[in-house]
Amino acid sequence: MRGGPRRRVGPGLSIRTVALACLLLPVGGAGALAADGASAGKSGAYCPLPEPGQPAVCLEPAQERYESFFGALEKGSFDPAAAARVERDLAAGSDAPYDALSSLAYGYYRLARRAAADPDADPAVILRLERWNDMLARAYEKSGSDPAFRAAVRAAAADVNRRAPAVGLRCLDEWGDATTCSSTEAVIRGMDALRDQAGLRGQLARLFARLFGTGP
Amino acid sequence: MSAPGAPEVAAPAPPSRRLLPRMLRAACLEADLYEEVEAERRSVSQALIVVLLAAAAGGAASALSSRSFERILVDVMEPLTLWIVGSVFTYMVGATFLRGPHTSTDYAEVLRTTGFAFTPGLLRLGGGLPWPDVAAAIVYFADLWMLVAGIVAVRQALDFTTLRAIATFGVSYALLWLSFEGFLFALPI
Repeated sequence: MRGGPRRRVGPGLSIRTVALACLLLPVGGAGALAADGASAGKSGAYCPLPEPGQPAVCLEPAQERYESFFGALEKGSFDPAAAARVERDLAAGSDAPYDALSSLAYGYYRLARRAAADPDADPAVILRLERWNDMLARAYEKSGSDPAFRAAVRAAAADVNRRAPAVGLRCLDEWGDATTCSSTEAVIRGMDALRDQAGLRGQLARLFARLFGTGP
Repeated sequence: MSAPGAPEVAAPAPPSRRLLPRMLRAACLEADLYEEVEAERRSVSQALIVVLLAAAAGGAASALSSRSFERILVDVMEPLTLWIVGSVFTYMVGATFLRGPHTSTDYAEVLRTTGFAFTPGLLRLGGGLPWPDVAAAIVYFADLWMLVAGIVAVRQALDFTTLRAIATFGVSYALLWLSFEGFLFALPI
């Protein structure tokens, strides 16, 4: 044990203050994100799915941009051509990728409700949801240089997983085998696995994959 | 013995050497606790228990989330690797390149202090909760808390400033990462 003043970073700034600031930073960030999400009509943020009976105020810019897509959804139908535009914008990274992301999440929610309500639902709807799972996964993979958009994609997948009713979709489990998913859970698992590939965790994962012969 | 007429002043009770109170103090980032374990050679076994508990918490969370055996193994091995190997680099960097005017330490001291810094890792058990958002937030919070505790532990073990401790932590992690990359590159399987 050694003596001497060691508990201060600088004049009047203790390690506890620094630690508290570090710990409060994510809380503040989460609060700011929540406030951002709640603020209406801002492009540049994911618009969470509206609560039942509540107006989707922050979706308005997306509704203007993809009028026929939303129009078809409100009529209880589906417009493949309009959906293709949303998909293209999300995949290619349009000038308003958050609008495309929010639209796709909202469309997913509406189509999942439709499919869950009718067991004999159009197989094309199920195929479309599976396709959107792939699109969300790819959007997450491609957004490595844009952490804010990457976080928004994960938030959208989690929002859909939480709110959309269960539908039987084909997906892959953690071992890469075909299985059935009820929503976007495989997409979220894949996103988390991708995140785990960084740093020491990723290195350990690669080491064990090679030791057990399961790696590439 | 007090002077006649002077009020009796009770000597402060020595801090408890039991594991749980120490873990609570470590989680509260109490610098005195890290000084205590730095000086007490036999506390290395307690430090090992803390790291094993953190490893078990991570592994249990993975198992609860139905993750693969490899993923569970990663979650168990990560704290142990960080502690044992990371402390080697922390000692090497902190006691040489970045040493301060009061730095006088050895590897065991670093092991003892950094081991207790894994206390918030017990929260990683929350990563097994069935709500992915909540689970991810808890793991993130636990990791951040461990990071701050680790910086305090390094600072107390190496007897220098917080800024040097942060630099030591960063350089050590970079060296650990590079060494592991080299190891994986050279591994003949």
